[in-house]
Amino acid sequence: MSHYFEVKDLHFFYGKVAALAKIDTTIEKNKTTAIIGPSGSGKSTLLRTFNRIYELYAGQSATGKILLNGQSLLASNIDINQLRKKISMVFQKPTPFPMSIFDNITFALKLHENLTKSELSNKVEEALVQAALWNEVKDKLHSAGTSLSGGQQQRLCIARTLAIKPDILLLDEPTSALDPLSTGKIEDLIHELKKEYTIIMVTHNLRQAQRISDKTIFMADGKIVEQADTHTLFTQPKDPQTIHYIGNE
Amino acid sequence: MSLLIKSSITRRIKNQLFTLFCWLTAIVSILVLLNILFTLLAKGLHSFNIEIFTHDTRNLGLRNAMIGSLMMTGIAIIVSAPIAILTATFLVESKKKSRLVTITRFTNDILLSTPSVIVGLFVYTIIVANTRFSGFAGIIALSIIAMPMITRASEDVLYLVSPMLKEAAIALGIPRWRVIIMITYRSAKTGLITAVILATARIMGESAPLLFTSAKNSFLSFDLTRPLESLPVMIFENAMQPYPNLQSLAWTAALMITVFVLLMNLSARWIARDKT
Amino acid sequence: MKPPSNFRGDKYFFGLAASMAFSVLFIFILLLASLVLFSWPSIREFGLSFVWSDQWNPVTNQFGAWAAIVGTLATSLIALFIAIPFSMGIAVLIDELMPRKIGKILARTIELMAGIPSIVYGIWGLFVLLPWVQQLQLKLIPIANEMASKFDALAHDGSWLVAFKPIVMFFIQSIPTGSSVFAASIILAIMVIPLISSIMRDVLASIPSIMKEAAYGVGATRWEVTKKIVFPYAAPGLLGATILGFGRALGETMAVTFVIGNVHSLSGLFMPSTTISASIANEFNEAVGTLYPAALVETGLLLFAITFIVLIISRMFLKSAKSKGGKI
Repeated sequence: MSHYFEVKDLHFFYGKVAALAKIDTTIEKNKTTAIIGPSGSGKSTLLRTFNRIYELYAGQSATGKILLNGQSLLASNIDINQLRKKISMVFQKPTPFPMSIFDNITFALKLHENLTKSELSNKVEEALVQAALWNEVKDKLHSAGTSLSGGQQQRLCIARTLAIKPDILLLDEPTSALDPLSTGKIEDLIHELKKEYTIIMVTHNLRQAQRISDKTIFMADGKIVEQADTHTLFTQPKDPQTIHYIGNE
Repeated sequence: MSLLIKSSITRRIKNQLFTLFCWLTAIVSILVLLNILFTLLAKGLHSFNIEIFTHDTRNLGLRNAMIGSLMMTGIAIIVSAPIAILTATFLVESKKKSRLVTITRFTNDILLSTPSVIVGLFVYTIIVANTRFSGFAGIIALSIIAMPMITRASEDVLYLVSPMLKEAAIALGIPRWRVIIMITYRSAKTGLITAVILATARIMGESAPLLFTSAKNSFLSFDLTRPLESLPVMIFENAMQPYPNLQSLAWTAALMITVFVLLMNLSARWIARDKT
Repeated sequence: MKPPSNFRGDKYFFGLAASMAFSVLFIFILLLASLVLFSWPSIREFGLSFVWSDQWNPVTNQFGAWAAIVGTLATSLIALFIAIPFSMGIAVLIDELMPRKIGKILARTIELMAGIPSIVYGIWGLFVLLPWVQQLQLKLIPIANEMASKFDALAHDGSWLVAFKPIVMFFIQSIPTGSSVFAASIILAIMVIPLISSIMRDVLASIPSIMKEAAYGVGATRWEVTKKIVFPYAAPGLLGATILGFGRALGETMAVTFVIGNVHSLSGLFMPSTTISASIANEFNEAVGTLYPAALVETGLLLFAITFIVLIISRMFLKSAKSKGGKI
């Protein structure tokens, strides 16, 4: 049976040093998968293999297979920019581009598609509505992206990725830099987005993982220790390492 | 007991002397600076009148010198700034820690600390010796001086652009070159502009490299293939002449350059101010 | 997935950027090559003796760089002598003695000095410094004459003290025009103080405050902390700043040309002399023939070599200061 998103025998190296070893996992479509684990366990590293963003840096390499609908993502004949359009990422710290809110959203959009002005406006509105930001910024679309609050900026970054209609959203600790109120809003957002997108989220907040994910992967020392649907993992963890980590929360 | 008091006094005196010394150094330096500025103003304003702008150096004016300086400085910056910024981009954005990057940076530093008179000689040997004195040669000399300055400053600024910001753009599927132009350059815009302004201020006052390249021309000229008058060279030629009116004119030219340079530096400072 | 599309844009862009970087290397190599080529007639004619020959005669076509080299080194060294204490005083003042805001203003003012073009220093030196030095020289002349006759008397008596005559006379004999090594050194000092003091300031600021606080905590005075803790710790960085200033002084042209007198000899602190860059600036455009210009360019090549070596040395010191802590 072929899965929507599969990782087989993935290894990752910084130079000669292995940072990820023998990663095998499957991700289901339209579900939220959380990756948890202590610092340095390789959670972010794993996430960053999915959109091959590690290729920006010399000396970082990956071996193994990552398959989306059966197609290998690590192959060399893949158009990387198209890949990143399909699998997009939101980072820990909000990263608004130095331009207006409107331009932030249309920036990547304009490069991938040829749209008229009105089509662009519609897409901007659509993305901002989906990101639950529209009401707050609809009157100031042309003010700077950096003028928003932290939580709003992060939602802007999410809107940005939604605008290019990816299939998979990679979220790297998206709320760790935000206050509890903004965190709550974004968690609600993720819950909504699941209906249309597939979400893979790294978090160090176990309660958050429990709240919003369907499947949880627990990592330590660059390996997957245990993975199961969230309820099972948290109520009946099997591996002693998992028990220790969850118990210490 | 008394020994204790005595060493305290010696120590205290030493300390006071040290503090006094530090203050003196600053005061003397400021006084020298003030002397220079006041002399510049006093002697420079002496010959300052409307004829400076309407007459050329052969008629006790500075028109041709100002135009020559502006032309050569402007074109030199237009030529050198893009090259310098692209070089800095190369140094910062190159993935590999290649030898080319280290060698380029090192060579850039060498050019940066090369005396400007040597640059002038260099341009003389390859251009002027084979053709003639010209504005072009002057522009090339100034460009060679400006380029490493802008490269160095740009590199520092581009380096500071948050990698996370760049990654966020890359993660949206935007090709690297667009990320650099539309995100990185934009983020670093203020710093890059400051670097260019400071380089402009610097080469506006350069005299040595122009002595053997653009030389002098007491007539008004816009022809870059011929010798071109410039303010710094004009000062060099006239300051040591035994004629008071020529000396006075040289002071006026010095005042104009200094005002221009100070304005550029202040505006660069103002642009770079902390806008938070 | 579609085959690679925007990779082309990346290739073009990075290719362009790389070629710009190459242009830096190209310019450097071309500079070196053309200077060597142009000075070849002189290199061939005089060989290695060019470096230590103090002949400089355009009429008989005998050239030697010794006077210019010595003048360059002497003026720059004396300038450093003056500049170092001033730069340190200012750096310590701004870093420690002054309240933040005033310190910033002073720092900005000193930076302003750095922005003034060297030809402005030159013309100021010509009209303000030279007369002042001239006054000094006029006061020195009677002393010099007295010393001269005293030494003559000593020579007459066969005293061994006569051996000191050259040294003493070096420091006090003069031609009272103002143009002198002394004047050039002062101008160079004024020009490098902003540079050296600003780097020193950065070095001082990068010292972890814990170190200073520990010393103050046991009751040391400011002078003692500075002398015994700050200086030793910051020594490489301070040295690096000094050497950088030295390199800058070596290449300085316009400010020096006006006040040094342009005579190819080094006969005294208050006597006229020359530096490599000053002689190039003064003589090159009037140099006729092939040997004369070639000789001048060869001195320029020597200057380039000297500044290159100084740059390397200063980098070594500043690098070790960087690794000790803080960013320079």
